Amino acid sequence: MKLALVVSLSFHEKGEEVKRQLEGMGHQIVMPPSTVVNHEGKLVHIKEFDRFRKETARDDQEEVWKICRRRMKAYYAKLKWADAALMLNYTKNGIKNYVGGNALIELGAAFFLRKKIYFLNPVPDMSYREEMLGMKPAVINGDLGKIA
Amino acid sequence: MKITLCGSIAFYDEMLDIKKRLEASGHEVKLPPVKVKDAEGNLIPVKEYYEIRKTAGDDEDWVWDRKAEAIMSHFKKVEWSDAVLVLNHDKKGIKGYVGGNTLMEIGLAFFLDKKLFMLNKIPEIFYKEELLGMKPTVINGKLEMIK
Repeated sequence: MKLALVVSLSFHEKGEEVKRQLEGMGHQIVMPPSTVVNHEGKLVHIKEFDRFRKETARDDQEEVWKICRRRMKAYYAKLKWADAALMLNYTKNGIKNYVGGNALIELGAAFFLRKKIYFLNPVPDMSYREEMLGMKPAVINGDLGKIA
Repeated sequence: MKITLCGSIAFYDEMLDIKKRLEASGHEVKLPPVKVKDAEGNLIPVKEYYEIRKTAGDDEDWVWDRKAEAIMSHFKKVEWSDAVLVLNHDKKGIKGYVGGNTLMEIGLAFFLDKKLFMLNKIPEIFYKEELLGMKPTVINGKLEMIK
């Protein structure tokens, strides 16, 4: 199966490990790229870019937001390519099985594109829990073998 | 222009008012649904469905089937449109609140290259960065900015 991983930048390494495991099972996997060309034209790790964006970039720093938009659009294309999306929802910000805003947007896109949606862990107790339940994800409880 | 309104159903009266005003300016406007089918297939007001949904278990299939239908139905309206206008009124103590469903609709509009308008300023909410990134035009209540 062709799978797009939906994963927070904070868990990029975990995502790469899951990617390896799924590829070992014969799946084709895409995940957000680990590098990006930043607003100064330098290739940087995505965590460095994200740190800059959160800590230093201004709300009106258009060249930074342009990069974010380009990444989002690029990932929509990957969701279109995939048969399914797998949400890697680990505990974050004190919330068990956290799903962030960007992840929710990607899940919504996958739902619109009628892709199968899997959640690694149970749907979290968050303000948009009902939206996640409405997308009727298959919760695999950490068992990648359930993806078929 | 074809415009789909996105926002909380709690502000449906405000939505209807904005719909009328936009239509008077020559736009075609679509809204979220005002009725959904209950477990027996009878139409009930969407506010009544929301109350049922708040206490529904994860396994009450008809409830989540309706939610799925509602999400897709409004996504299709976003796809139909040239632009979405997000009616982000104050809610839950947050100025210019944008809920999860509306966030997904904005995201879809962004992916489909629709124009994005927001009635009020982008809220101070944990997904503010995602909203900023999608660069909606904040119209501060001025519908004439929509073109």
